[in-house]
Amino acid sequence: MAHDLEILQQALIAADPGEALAATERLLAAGVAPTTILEEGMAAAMFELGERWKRGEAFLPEVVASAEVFKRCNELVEPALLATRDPDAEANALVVLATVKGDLHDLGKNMVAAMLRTSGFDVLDLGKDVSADRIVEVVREQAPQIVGLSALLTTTVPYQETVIRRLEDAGLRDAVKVMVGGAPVTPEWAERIGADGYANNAPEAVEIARKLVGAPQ
Amino acid sequence: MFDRDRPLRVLSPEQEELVHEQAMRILEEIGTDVLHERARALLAEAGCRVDGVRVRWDRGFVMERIQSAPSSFTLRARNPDRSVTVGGPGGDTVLMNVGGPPFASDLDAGRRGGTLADHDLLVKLTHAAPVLNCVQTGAVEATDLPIAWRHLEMEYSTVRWSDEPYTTYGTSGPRARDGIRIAEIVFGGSLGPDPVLMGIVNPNSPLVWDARMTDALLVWAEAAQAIVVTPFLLAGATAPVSLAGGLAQQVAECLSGVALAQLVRPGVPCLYGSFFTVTDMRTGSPAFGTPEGVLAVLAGAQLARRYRLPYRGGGGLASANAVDAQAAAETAMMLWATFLAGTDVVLHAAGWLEGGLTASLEKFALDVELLDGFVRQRAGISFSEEELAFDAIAETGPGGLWLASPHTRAHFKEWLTMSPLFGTADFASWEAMGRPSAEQAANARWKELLASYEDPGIDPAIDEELRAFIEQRKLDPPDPAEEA
Ligand code: B12
Repeated sequence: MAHDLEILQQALIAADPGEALAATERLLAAGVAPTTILEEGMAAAMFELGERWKRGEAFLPEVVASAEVFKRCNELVEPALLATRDPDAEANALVVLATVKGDLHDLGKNMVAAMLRTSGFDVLDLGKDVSADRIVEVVREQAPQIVGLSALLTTTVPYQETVIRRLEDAGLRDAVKVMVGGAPVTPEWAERIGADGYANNAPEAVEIARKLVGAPQ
Repeated sequence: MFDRDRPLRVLSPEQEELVHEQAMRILEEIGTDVLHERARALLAEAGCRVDGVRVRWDRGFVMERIQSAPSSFTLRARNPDRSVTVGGPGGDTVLMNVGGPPFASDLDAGRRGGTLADHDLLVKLTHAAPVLNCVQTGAVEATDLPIAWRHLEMEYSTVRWSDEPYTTYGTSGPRARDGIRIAEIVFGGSLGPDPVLMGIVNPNSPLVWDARMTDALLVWAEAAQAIVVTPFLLAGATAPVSLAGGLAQQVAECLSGVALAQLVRPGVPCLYGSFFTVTDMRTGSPAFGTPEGVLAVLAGAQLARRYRLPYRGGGGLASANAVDAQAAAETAMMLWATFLAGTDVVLHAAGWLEGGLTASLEKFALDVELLDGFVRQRAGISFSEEELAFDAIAETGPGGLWLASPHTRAHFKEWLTMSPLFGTADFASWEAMGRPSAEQAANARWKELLASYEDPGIDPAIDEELRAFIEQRKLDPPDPAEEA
């Protein structure tokens, strides 16, 4: 088992779906607790990858590919996890991400999504050019812990405020934390519109997200 | 040197053919998404295969359509002496200030959100710098103004403080229309046969023509204004990580945009635009001045020539966050490529810093200095009798001192470049002066440039009409298409 956890870690870091999925299946078949697979196998690998990325030893396409494999392994582990889960236990925090309406810049948002996934968050990515109505609807239906809004144009940055106001109007503002980002966004702006968090880059976004859900950092 | 018709070639004829062939296959077999309904309808009507939002462009259609785009045209300025010829062997090198940054910076006031005052300042600096012959509207975003009408004030800033030709700020159909209206006022009614402004369109690479930009393209085409079709390719993010594949994508995107414009209005001037660099996979940010970026500028020029379209490319692009050695090296690399490519239109030639997020005044001064050098280099080596200098060589004779020669004294000011920015003081003197940096010299330089600015003035009746239009437009309810 220890061996398969090791294989799973290596396969995730190498973004090898065949190896990673096979190791996950073997672990599940051997009756290893899904939380163990998730924490000691998958999360540990992604943490290591994140550290390597910060040190400049891993690169974006590798992180994105690993996040994809992570997602697929997660799909295997999830049913087992739900079956064994203590109904009161916390699930992974859900983050809803969107590039706001009028804005087509999604590279930075995609990076944030990949880094959040590799850090154990569930991410629902609504894409780009996303309206406040859609965001409000998703917050109502999915009850995420965090909404992350990206904007790269000075003409669309104000829309982050629009989304916050619409969440207020819908009576949902207190139910969710909002973090904002994108190159022209400043911490002062984030504060002015009453966002709960701001980050300059993807690793910082993960730290802020952890802080917002009260997770150990 | 810097021959427009013969850019430094980096593609062999076979490679050029391969790029073309693959671009045609991309258009025919993969196609592009066109998210603008009317454009899609027009293309369907013209015989393109439309399947949902996917349009497959037959090579026959594309290659025939682009034939009607002129290989050169006159871009009229409100001061006719400042009109420029874009494209062709006798064309001007059209050089512009930076555009788009949300931040402005200089040594005195530091980095801040851009304001209309910063925009005015950059327009004036552009007008004052002799080497820059065109203004890019949106030199810095006037983030102190509401988005509903900020574009109107930036456009006014351009046409009021300079009488050079310009690019309009049109990031959507309605904004493009406002720009046309302003131009009509400036040029006294209807716009003549020659364009008076250039609009920039970027497809949403890879292979998507989104609704807003396509709308702007249609507005400019209908108004017979020049359209700069520029795919924004970041290898590894919005384009394949390989230059060969990226160039084919560039051709497919450019030519589909040009074909659409020609379909709407045959003969409307269109440029083949290239903005192609790489993604830094450590940060995800665009990296400028890289070897791949340099090759892409040169290859783009070659392709533009193949299709007989004027070429927009290059620029004083840099990723650096400060006016430092990195900024200088990246910019110099890019400008060499820009000039060796024989580029016709250069946006962001001066003032670009931080990957385009900041308009820096010191960087502006530094870039103007480099551009002056390139223009001088382009003039080549002159061989008049006086410059061959046989008589002077005879007079100075073997072992003579040229410093003492009347020939030197008569010509050194004209024939030797002495940079106002870069000093050659010996180390001790330089230390005694307090070790001035190039950035400090650049700070002094942009202030000199600003002091030399002369207001071109504007006809009071036109000015009044412009102000009236803008103030009225501010009262209009925001266009639903712009509703953020
Ligand atoms: C690539 C790019 C494009 C591509 C986008 C492709 C894509 N799929 O995303 C294309 C070609 C489509 C494009 C189009 C346009 N663009 Co553009 N583009 C850029 C460019 C060069 C890079 C952006 C980028 O991807 N950076 C890399 C990523 C990794 O960085 P990032 O987005 O900042 O994200 C990081 C952080 O900000 C943070 N973050 C991001 N989101 C979030 C969210 C949260 C919640 C958190 C916590 C953190 C966070 O983490 C990320 C990772 O570290 C910028 C200039 C620049 N240097 O930023 C111009 C730029 C943003 N674009 C600009 C312009 C003008 C346009 C156009 C209007 C041009 C035109 N005339 O067509 C159109 C607009 C289209 C639209 N409606 O959105 C201007 C903006 C001007 C302004 N004042 O607002 C810029 C500044 C360039 C310039 N100087 O002109 N563009």
